[in-house]
Parts: sequence; structure tokens; C-alpha cells
Amino acid sequence: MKCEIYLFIFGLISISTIITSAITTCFVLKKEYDRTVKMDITLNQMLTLENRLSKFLQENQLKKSANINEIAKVLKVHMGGEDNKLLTQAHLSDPDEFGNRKVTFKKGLPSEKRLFNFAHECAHLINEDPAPYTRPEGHKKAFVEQLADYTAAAMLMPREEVYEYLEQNSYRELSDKKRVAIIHSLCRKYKVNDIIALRRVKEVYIMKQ
Amino acid sequence: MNDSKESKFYNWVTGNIYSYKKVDAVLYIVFYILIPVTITAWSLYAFPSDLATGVYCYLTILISASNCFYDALNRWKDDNSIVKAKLIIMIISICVVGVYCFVIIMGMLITSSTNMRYDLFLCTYFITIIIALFDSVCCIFKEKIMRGYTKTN
Repeated sequence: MKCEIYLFIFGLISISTIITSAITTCFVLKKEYDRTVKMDITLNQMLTLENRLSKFLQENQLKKSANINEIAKVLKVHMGGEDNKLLTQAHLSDPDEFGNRKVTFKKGLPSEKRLFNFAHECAHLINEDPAPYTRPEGHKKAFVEQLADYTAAAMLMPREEVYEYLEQNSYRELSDKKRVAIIHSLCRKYKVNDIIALRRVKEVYIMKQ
Repeated sequence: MNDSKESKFYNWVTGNIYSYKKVDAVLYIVFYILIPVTITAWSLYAFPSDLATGVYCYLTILISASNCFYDALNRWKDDNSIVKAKLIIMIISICVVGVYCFVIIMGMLITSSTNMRYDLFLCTYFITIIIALFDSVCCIFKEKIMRGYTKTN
């Protein structure tokens, strides 16, 4: 093969990949962010869920900033393994003879998604939702799942703690670029993905305002 | 596109081999795309008729392919199946180049001839380039898109 042909193919592939990738990324991410970052529950519902969570923490002598492992311990919920046959993202088993439950996950979920799904299953118990306890795939979720998602985010990223962190960093006064950096630091701090962090920031400010 | 397919596609786009680290993406482009492609192109351009230099040309490509292979192995993440799938495809394409170079080097040494070449196999490395470039662009654009969603109201 001639060098010119090799370089020509390289150039052609590189340019087409960059263009395709730019278009796809913009389209897919914008659509996903539009759908997931928007508020799907009202302020009153948020406050009700926050109060329910605070009450649960108080009743079980847990701190307001209790982490998900402490909450799960009280609920007797444990992390299980992966299940190849699982059609939903996660599933919470029925209690065994000692009242312990196990969350099994769909195979190949990233660690932050696993953690969120684990919190989501715990949230079903706190919200006293009817069984079965699962986290379905896709976007058209039942209302009860949206509420569980909210409670899961509230458990992973406590309202006061997040607000304090944002105010310390003067989040509202920062440029968009610096805000993204703060979102990334929240993702690292609470081991959540960017969509959950973006949503939580919005929720926290809505409640504070 | 139905919801599940769309979700899979989203996972494929967002399962990033660089974990959205822009510096990592830029360094990958330099060290594992531009340098190996330059080495390969130069080897094809300056391919000599004498055996020893011919072997050196393919040996250089083999070494640069081995570097890419090592890097791909180090990016392996047990908790992300999409990243794993991308890396498997990359590793296979790098292996094809590596094995091809090895076969050609051996062929040259055994037959003492430089005519036995099927350089189209070198193009399989472009599969790695496609995945790497796709994820690099994704790194840059994701942050730009995120900026529009950081408002508090």
C-alpha cells in the first residue's frame, strides 16, 4: 500500500468521525439532558419527600448527612450481585427470615449507576411504596419511580450539605464553565453522575428560594 | 427509535474510554493516533529494498501497536460494560496490526524477501482511531452542552 493512500484513508476517517461524533454527541446528550434535568415533580412534592426522609433519619437516630450505607443498614438492605436476566436496572428482593433484603443489579452498570439504583431501592422502602421494588429502564417511568429517584438523590446528596457547598463556592455568581467544574466536583464527592448532580443543584435552589 | 434502543445508544455515546478527562483524550490523540500513524506512513513511504531496514520498518509499527495495546489494557474498567466493549474492539484491531507485523517480519526473515506484504491489514488500526476520536470529541462537547444546564432556576 502506498503511503499517500494510507494517509488519505486516515484523513477521510478522522474528519468523518469528528463530524459524526460532534453531531451525535450534541443530539443525544442534549436530548437526554432536556429530558432528565427538567423538574418532573412539584415543589410541594419535593418538600414532602424531604420531610419524610428527615423524619425517617430522626426516628432511626441517624444524622441529617447520614450516608446511604448507614441508611441501608437500618433498612436491612444489602448490595447483591449482578443478574444477567434482569430486565430492569435493579431489583429489591423480598425480606428473608431475618428481614434482610438484597438489591440485584443489571449486568454491566457503571459504579455510580449501581449506587444510585441501590439508593433508589432504599427510597422505595422509605416512601412506603407498593411492591415490586425495581428501577425500570427508559424514560417513561411511573410517578412512584420518579418520587423514588428524588428520594434517592436526596439520600446521596443531602440538601443542606449540597447547599452549603454551593454557597461556599459562590455557585450562582460563577461563569457556566466554572459551574461545570463545581458539578464535576459534586459528582466526585457524592459518587453520582452529572445528570443527578445537575438535577440536585436545581432542586436545592428551588427549595431554598 | 424506541426508549430502550435510545437508552442503549445514549449509554454507548456516554461510556467514555477517557472518563471525560480532556487532557487524557488530547494525549491519546498525540501518542496513540498521530505518532503511530506517522510511523506507519513513514514506514510505507520509505520502505527499502534491503531486508534489514524492511524488518526495522515493521518492527517500529509493531512496537507502536504494542504501546497502544498496553494503553488499552490499562483503561480496562470492570464496572462499565460499554467501555469494556469499546476496548475489546480496539484491542482486537490493534492485535490484527501486531500479528500482521509479526508475520511479515518472520516472513521476511525466513524467505529473505521483502515482497510478501499485504499492507491493507494496517488499516484495521483505523477502527481504534474511530473509537478514540469519537470519544475525544464526546469529551469536549459534553462539557459544552452541560454548561447550558447549570442554571439554578
